[in-house]
Amino acid sequence: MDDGFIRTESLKKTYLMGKVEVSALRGVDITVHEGEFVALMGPSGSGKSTMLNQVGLLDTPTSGCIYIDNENTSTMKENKRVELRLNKFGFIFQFFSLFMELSTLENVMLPMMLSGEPKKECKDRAIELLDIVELYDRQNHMPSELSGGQQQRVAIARSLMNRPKLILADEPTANLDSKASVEIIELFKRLNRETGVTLLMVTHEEELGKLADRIIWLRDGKIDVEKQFVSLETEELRVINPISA
Amino acid sequence: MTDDLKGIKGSVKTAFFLALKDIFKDKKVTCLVVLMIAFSFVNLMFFTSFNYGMTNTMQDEMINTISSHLSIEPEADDTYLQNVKSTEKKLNLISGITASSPHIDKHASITYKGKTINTKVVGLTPSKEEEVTLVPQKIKIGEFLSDRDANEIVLGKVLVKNKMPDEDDWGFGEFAKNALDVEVGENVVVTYDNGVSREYHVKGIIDAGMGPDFNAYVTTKEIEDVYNQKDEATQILVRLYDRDSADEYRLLIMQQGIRGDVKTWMDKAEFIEKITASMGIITGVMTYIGLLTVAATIAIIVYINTTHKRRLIGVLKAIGSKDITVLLMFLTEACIFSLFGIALGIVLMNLISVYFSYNPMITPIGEIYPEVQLNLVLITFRTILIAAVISGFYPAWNAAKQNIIRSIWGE
Repeated sequence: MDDGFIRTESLKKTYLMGKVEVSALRGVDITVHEGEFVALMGPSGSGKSTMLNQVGLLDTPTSGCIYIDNENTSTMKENKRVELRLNKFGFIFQFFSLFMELSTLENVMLPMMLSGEPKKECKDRAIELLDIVELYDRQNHMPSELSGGQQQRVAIARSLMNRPKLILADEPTANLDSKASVEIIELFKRLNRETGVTLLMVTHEEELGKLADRIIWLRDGKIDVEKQFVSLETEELRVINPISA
Repeated sequence: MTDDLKGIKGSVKTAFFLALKDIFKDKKVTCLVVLMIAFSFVNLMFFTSFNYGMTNTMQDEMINTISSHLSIEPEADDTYLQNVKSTEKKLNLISGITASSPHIDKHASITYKGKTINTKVVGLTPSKEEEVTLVPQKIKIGEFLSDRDANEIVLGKVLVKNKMPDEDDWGFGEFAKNALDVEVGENVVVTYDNGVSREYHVKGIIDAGMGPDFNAYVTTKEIEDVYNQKDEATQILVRLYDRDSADEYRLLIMQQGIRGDVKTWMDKAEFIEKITASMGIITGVMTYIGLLTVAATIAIIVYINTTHKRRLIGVLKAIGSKDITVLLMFLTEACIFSLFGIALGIVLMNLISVYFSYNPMITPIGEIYPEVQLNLVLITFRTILIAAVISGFYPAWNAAKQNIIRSIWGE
């Protein structure tokens, strides 16, 4: 039975904002299969970023379970979670999360350096990835010398360094113009197609979300069933990817 | 290599790499921080090394003007050492002893133009004294005695009223009040404690910076004549090749059957130790304050650094960095700042030391200059490094333990 690469069960997350309890997730069940490109969408405060943070093991749920590759992460020790983040996940954030004192090449090398790989291997892999994201000739540039779109492509290259099985992108195009945004999503699609990496992307731009294989809609911390239904119908009409759930 | 070991290696290497990159990102800030730590290093070293320098100057002055390396004194029940000539012969046969000089001390009052001052008159043989102390070289005005002098006297500067226009009073308290208005070449009357009075021609005035300034000096022959004493001494000063072997020679002298209480310069320097220990307490307090300044500065630097990097710490942890990597990164930065600061501090301290070796601080006890001892450098080095690690640890630990989401959102 295919349980999916990511599976959440009754996932809940409650925050304390001052003295007020805020339920960001109210029992979310999703399944994302290996190799899928899924967009998490919904209005502001719907819980999409919280969902991404839970799946990315950046935070711990209040209750419920997250299975990654059939492994229950709620029983995992912190060391194991760190190892998963380093070796199986790649992260892309909405702001350009590069180290300004490091060159483009050094920024990309970072995750592999953290894994303890020899410098030569880190460098070779980083150059290979910069070539993929079409920034080969910018490897010695500092982030401040790159445009927003280029910086985000560097972040994408960095996220791929340790050959992750899953890339988590939190509004990766939020700070980009529409042309750069489309380029980034096209890059995601190409990577997804060529490397088979699973992509879970949070976005609030429907046009970009539609470029994914499947959209999971959230509203008020739950799956937005109504919108999900409409979306599924559209998906079926578009027949983009037969693997979608 | 196991995955765990590989991970540790990766963490350490990345922490070091990021720390170095961060340090050299803003060279101006780095230079300022390094300069600040360097000054703190100098601050910690300066007073302590001056204290060392002062101790050494005082010890040297004491050895050169008062105690020499060893002194043989009468035992508790005796007033004088007997058979001085035979003792001197025995001493001269011991290899490693370069010279000896017997002293015979008496109390007397010196009168000039109706004014009288009480003092100690030391009888010595100038040619022997020259081999043992630097007293004969400490003449400020006039000349020192020669062996054949009979009616000549040399006065310590405290006994005499100052006539040098560019100097303050030489004496203080009672001495300043009773100081004789006498000049070299004039005559004074000395009345010894046996009642004998003799007139002496003032041959010179001594400025030794220490004990000799309070004494008057005549030849041994003269004292023996006044007191009708022969072959006796109040103390015999002994000079060695190596001052550090004073303890060893003390035993050797005792083994020769020489009667007397043999004291080393270290025994006599006890009062110096007390003075420098007191100075050491003051210096210690200043050192602790300096150290607190260093620690606080490093803590602030690390804290500001972690605050500025809050978001990137979050990103670093999100992409798989362990807490220890973040902690090590900031601690490495604190240590590198400290190492550069210490290195510059050593250079500055040496420059200061060189400056003072050419321009020593002139004090009443002699010339003082900071003495930079390797031991002190190592202690200060270690202290600053430990202070850097301890003070940098808390903000670095806080940064390492930050919640990833909150850090990423800069909360």
